[in-house]
Amino acid sequence: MKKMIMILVGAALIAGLAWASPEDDREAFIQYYQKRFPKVAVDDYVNGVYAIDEAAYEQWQTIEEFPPYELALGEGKELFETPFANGKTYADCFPNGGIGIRQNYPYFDTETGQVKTIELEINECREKNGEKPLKYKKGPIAAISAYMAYTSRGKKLDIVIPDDPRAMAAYEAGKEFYYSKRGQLNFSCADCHVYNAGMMVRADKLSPALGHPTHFPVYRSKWDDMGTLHRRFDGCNKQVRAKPLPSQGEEYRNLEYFVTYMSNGMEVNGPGARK
Amino acid sequence: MNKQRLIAGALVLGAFFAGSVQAADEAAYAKSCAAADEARKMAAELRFEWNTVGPMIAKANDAAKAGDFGKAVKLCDEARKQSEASVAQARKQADAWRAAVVK
Repeated sequence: MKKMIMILVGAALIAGLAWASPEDDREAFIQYYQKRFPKVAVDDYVNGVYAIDEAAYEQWQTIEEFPPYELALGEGKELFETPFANGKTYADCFPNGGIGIRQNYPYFDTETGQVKTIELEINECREKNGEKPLKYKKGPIAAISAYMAYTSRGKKLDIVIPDDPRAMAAYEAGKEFYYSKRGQLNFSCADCHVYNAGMMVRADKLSPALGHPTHFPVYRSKWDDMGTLHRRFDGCNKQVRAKPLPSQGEEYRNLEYFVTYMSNGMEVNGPGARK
Repeated sequence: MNKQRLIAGALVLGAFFAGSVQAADEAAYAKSCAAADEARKMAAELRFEWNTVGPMIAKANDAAKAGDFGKAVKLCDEARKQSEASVAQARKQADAWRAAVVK
């Protein structure tokens, strides 16, 4: 009898773990950070590492007085509004003319069975209108995406996982990627940005994962340039000595789906400025 | 006359041995790098390739082109070992990631 009860309890525990809903995951994620940094308000995580580093926060505030992403914003607005050769614009491809919609990305497209990111749809829009696709990591696409994020500032991330097993599978694949150790250094995303958030890696403090996607694309001083979230994924993978996967490939889009869901309800404040 | 024949014979023999040593080195390089490439492909298929491996194989090919087959074999052996380690990592992580999830 005792053995039977233990088996049942074990099975229930395993089932519980296997069936943790995205909302369970998100709540556990927030609680983890609340315990790790009890003085930091949940809403402040939109500021990335500056939420947990007072001295760097002051410096960042000074940088924000003359934001380094300002040029890219102007360029992005111009590109966004310039008609394609056929006379159409990006506004024709997006809901609400592409203004104030960043908080709904990425989303699961039940028609194609794929996670759609804003950068992917920017290029789909171009191709639909007879234009060549842009490179995904930096340059014009980062500028357009930055402008679209800017028009969405203050809106709360609202990532939806529809009642579709393919959407749940995409979320789970992103979660698996996030927690899997990779590269010669054998590090997962979570190793740095969850379990060691706030610790130093050489001269830099590791940022918390909560709030990460709210401020992308970002201007990074290290790049002296703007970059998309997938450019950052690429860099993180290289840093642990893993060969990066293609930007906007299925793996990184699923990863973005999971990571952004973890920050659901937080305000979009992109583009950001980072070290 | 005999002296000249002797020198010519020695030269022919030397060339023969040098040729066979080079052929053996080249074969070792081909074998080692084929194995490295196969292991790298498996890691790439699992999406767990390390970024150290591709450059190592490229360096090995450069060394072979320059005739340094010994160096090429060493590099390809290391590339194979690292690829095998990344395949093992992928297989382990297929289950191990669940234990790392924040609960």
